[in-house]
Amino acid sequence: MICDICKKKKAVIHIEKHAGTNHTHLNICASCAGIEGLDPEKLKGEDLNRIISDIATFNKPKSDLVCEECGTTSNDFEKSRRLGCASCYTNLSEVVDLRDWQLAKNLKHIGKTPFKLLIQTADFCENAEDLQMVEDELAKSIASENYEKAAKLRDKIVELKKALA
Amino acid sequence: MNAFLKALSSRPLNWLGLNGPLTEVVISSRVRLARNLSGHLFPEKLDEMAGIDLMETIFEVCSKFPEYERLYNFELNTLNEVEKDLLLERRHITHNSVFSTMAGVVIEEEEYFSLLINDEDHLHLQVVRPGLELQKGWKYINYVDSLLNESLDYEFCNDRGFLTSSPLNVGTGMRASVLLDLSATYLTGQISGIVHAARVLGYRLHGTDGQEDSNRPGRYLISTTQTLGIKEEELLHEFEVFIREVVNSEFRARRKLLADSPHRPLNLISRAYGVLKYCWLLDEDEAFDRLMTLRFGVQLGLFEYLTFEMIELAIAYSGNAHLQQILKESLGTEDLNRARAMIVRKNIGLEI
Repeated sequence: MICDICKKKKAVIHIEKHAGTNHTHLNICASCAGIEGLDPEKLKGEDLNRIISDIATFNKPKSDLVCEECGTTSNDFEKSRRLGCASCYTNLSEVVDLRDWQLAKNLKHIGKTPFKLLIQTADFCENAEDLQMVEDELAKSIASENYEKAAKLRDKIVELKKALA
Repeated sequence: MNAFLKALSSRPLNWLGLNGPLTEVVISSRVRLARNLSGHLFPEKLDEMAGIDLMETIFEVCSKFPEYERLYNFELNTLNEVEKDLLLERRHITHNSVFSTMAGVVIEEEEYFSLLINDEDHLHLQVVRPGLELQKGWKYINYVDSLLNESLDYEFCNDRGFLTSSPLNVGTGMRASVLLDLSATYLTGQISGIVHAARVLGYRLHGTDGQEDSNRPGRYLISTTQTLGIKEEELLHEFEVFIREVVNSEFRARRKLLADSPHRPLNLISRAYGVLKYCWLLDEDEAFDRLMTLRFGVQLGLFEYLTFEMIELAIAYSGNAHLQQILKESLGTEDLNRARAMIVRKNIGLEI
């Protein structure tokens, strides 16, 4: 294996870090570990301690990632495991790997879509099912006396019926 | 104390099902949806004023619902400790929200539905049903979710679904769970099999103390974890299939236990009976544990006079906040434990 730091020399030290469900590996060569010239068999406890603390500084991202929208840093997230806003998903994407959080292989959302967004999608109302959904919404809005919404939905239904015909 | 909250304190617990499908094993089912409103920072970064504003907006929206008369709003900041503990014991709020200055809760009269505002996300909708009623719960919570969505825009993106504060919830934002009485499965040493099966299928199982390797065996919570790459109905359907298998295996274990080795359950149940009849001090956890064991005994038909209702109420009154409300005074832990021993005893007709 090649050293993860200089990517040139052969690695002689292998470190595994386990944090919750996260497992990371680090391979380091003798010179990056600062033990060039030393006999690996003769390494003492202090040497290993020093290597590990040096590694800790290597492992930290060069500059803490920040989400411009809300100010959450990658450090904040690591501690609290909570994001500060919707934009964090993109701005902090380097530290939020959904594969660490979700068991499924498929990371695409295929569940419920908010109704307002649903009727805007291009392939909405390719079938009678979608039309039924809008008709159900119409019934609901009449039941709850939301006549303004009902009128809009009724127009939509006329439009959709034309498209389906 | 607020009249509604006072009424709650003398009712059986909503999450401890009395009448429901398969209530012999499935005590209750719960479906939870996490949502955030677009154009606002998540509660983690939201400042107090904005948070309170958001909470008021949500209260306002709820007041326009067709069933608004059955909804009760509470700003957690305005409640005292006992009132908050009461809501905690009745599972309408979380430990985290107790100390928040901008958290609120909306509770439906029968307590089947509640909405927690500004806890981990802007909205946590929750439906609790007795017995196994996941599909029904989903239907209702889906309806309320859509209703809220008519007036409030959600943070949603096509690829990742509903955007939540924790990456564990992103996507459907849905978590389903069931509370099960698997006493026989435990007594016949088959719990590890269930734990393994659950893990393979992507479900979490832990005891009522939150541990997988529970100190209080017999009752278990199994919950779903997947929120991406699956439709809500499909997840619930698969989960229900699994739970039904677990229920069947518990029924089989109960029959086997009674036929082959009745000593074990009888020993457990008689000891629970004994402790509850004679103990001087009784803490919350042990009260729940022993009462649930008695409930199991009632399931097995071992008691003539003891009913589910009596046990239900005893469990409700065994919570610290419920006790304080009944006793109308604030007591220290030991005094509470003393009072609990006496009240539980009284409620199950075992007064010495």
